[in-house]
Amino acid sequence: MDAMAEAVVFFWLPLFMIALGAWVSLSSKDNMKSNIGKFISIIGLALVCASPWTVPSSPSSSIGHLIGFILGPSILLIIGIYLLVFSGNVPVGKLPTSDRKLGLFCITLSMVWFCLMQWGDLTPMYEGKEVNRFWLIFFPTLVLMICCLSSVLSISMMLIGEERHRESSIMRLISVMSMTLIICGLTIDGKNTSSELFTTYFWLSVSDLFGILVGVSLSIFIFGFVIYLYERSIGEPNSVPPPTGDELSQASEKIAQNIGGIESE
Amino acid sequence: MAFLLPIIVIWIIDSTLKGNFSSFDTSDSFTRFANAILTSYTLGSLVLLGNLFFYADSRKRPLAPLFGMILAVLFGILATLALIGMGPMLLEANGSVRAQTVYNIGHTIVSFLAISLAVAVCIGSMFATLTNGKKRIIFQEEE
Repeated sequence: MDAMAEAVVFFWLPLFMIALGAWVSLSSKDNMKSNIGKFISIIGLALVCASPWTVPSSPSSSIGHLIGFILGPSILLIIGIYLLVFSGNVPVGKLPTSDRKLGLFCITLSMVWFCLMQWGDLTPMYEGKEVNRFWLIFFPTLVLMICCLSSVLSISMMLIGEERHRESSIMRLISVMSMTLIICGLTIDGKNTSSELFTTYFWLSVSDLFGILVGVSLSIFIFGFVIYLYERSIGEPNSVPPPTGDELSQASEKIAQNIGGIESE
Repeated sequence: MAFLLPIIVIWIIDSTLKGNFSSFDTSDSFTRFANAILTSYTLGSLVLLGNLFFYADSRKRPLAPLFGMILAVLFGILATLALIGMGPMLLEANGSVRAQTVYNIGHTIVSFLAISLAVAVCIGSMFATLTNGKKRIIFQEEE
């Protein structure tokens, strides 16, 4: 098998399996089909993470290498946020208040983990020689997006919400913290990555982010336009004839069966 | 504006610390911007094409919008290949159109992962601040 066929079989096909599995799982109402979709996604993810071993010759396998590295801190971060959200005043699925501390601990640990990957010894080194180039894309995009989005949410809470100063300040604090991380990246050299390299990739990630925003907006606009054209072409729906006497009596029977209950005192 | 403000602040701080106003290469930034637009448009259209199947369920499976979205995806693919193939303008240290296209897809997937995680962090943090605050009385009980 040549190098390209190997990359298709051991990397791109499993990657497609993740998307296909997610699609099957989300689109089917049947429990069995939904579980099959989840199973396909998990198998695909495992194969993508194993791609540095199954297809080491392909540069694409460094994506699998990166996913393997970020899986731990990302899961920890999501668990932390879940614990933090559901240990508060929620009407359903409330967790014990003590889980709030555990959630904060998980989030702090995951952020320290990410920082050690940037500045410490835990940097994803592809084939043990050089920094995984996709890590250089992932980290700046992550902190930049957190910085900008938390800033947007902070302002939105001030403008839309009522008496949300405390919540807005916390979101502003998150934005400032992520901005500090970016400034650190731009000025402080890590063990394996220099500040110059981070600077180059950070400004590229700014361009990338705007490009993605424009591209995705364009595709959504085209999608809406296609739907609009189709809906306009089908014209007005035919009028439904008025209900017959039988239908009316059947409807009143159904209504009578479903209204009532205990009268309030 | 709130989205742009942190970037402007970072740019000012970076320029002040390094003593020059352009620590980024405008040519490389433009190349990345153009590649990101083309790739995200094509991948986004592809995802929305899949989404049309859900829409079609409630509309007796019409072919016209499906055909329209297939055309949109094809347009994205052809535009990507044509613009990358025009010369070194959109090639980022990759020798061929195929290598650049594969790199673009990989790059977009990684950026999408980072954006998704950031959205989860920000929305999650916002909900955490909302649910961990003091319980509010929304409606006064009727007397």
